Amino acid sequence: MLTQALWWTGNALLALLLLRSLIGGFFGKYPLLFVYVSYVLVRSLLCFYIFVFHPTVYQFFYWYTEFLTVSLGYCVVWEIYRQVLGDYPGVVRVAQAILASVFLAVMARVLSNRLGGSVGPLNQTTVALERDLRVVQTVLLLVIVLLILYYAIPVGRNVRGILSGYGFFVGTSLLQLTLREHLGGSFQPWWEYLDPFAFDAMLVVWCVGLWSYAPSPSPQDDKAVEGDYELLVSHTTALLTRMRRHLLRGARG
Amino acid sequence: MMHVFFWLFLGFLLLILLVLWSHHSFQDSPTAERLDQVQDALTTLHLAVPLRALAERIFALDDRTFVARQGSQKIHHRFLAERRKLALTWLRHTRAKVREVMQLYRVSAGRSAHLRLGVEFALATQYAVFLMVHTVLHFMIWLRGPFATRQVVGYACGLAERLVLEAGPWVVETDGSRLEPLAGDWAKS
Repeated sequence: MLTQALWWTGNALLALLLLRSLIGGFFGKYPLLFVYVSYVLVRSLLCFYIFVFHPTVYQFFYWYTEFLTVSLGYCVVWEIYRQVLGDYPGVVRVAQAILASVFLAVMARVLSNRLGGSVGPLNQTTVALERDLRVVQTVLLLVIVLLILYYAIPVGRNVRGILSGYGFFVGTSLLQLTLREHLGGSFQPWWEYLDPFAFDAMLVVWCVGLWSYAPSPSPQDDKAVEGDYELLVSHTTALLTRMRRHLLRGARG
Repeated sequence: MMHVFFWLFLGFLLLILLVLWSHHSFQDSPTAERLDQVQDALTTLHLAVPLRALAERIFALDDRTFVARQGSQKIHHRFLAERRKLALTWLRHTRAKVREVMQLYRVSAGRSAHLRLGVEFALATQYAVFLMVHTVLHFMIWLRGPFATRQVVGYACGLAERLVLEAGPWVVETDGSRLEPLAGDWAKS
């Protein structure tokens, strides 16, 4: 009963989100996000239809579309990166360098696991694959949050809501999938409640954050805030070195 | 089994960072005027850096020797406690200034189109080294007091200088005589 309530609540929140974006006129401002939201809503309603009228193919349909859902989740991550780093080309370069190395390492591990491991039942294999995809999403979100914190990048209410909600969902999803793969069937009753609850929590955060259009502030446009990067680095380095020596020499007396 | 803990750690790390981020607010973009001030501050090093003379006075032995000679144990202990507090306050003040510099740097550099990961990493490492030195000093002063710390710090610095002077010609293919002026500079400073 509770799972049914959670499921219908999720559908209602998805519909509300789409409705608000259309009324507010910002559907096109975050196209990748709303493509994901639209797909999840349509898929959810299709699942209900197949469950009621074609129950024999439900499991097959669910697990294969679940994989597509997780993959489309990368659209949300892409939207977050696009919105946060759109006006910061320098930070984009740093992010690209970090992500290139992390992505190669993670994909190499994922591929080696897929090739080296035995193929289990469909749902177990999909759980492990979904967990791996969530790992990559987690790393991507970790990098963007760290960059926002490190470079003090201002973020508007919309993007803050998207990132907070999806980050919460991905983080809890990773925890649940890890426990599910490790504990197996004993975790299944917990997962049936935790996963939809986390999803609904994400949608609530999205509804609050995306209730109206509130873009992120962009850097000053009236004056080129470029500065001399090399000069900035050299002076900061000199000051850091000086302060470190100041500490040690002061302590020596 | 290790990979299970690693995935769980990754998930929790993301959730913790999100909570941390929610406590920060960077709604206001720095104005062009403020960034100019940043450039000026870093160019001329006009931040209010705690004077070196102040630090030397805090850690100097003269006052301790004078107080010890007065014969009152109670006053001596009180003096040591107050001097420890002063040294820790000086440390915190120094760290606050460096933190301000790094905050200003990060805000400025983030707006530059020429960021380089290698340079950013090197600077972040320098900052990490400073924080490490600060933390060690803080712990030593808290544990042993400022006067016992200066002996340890002095020994460590001397050891580092000797190591560079002696190992320099072996590590870097450099004429040893070129290191003599450096040694002279260190001795003077």
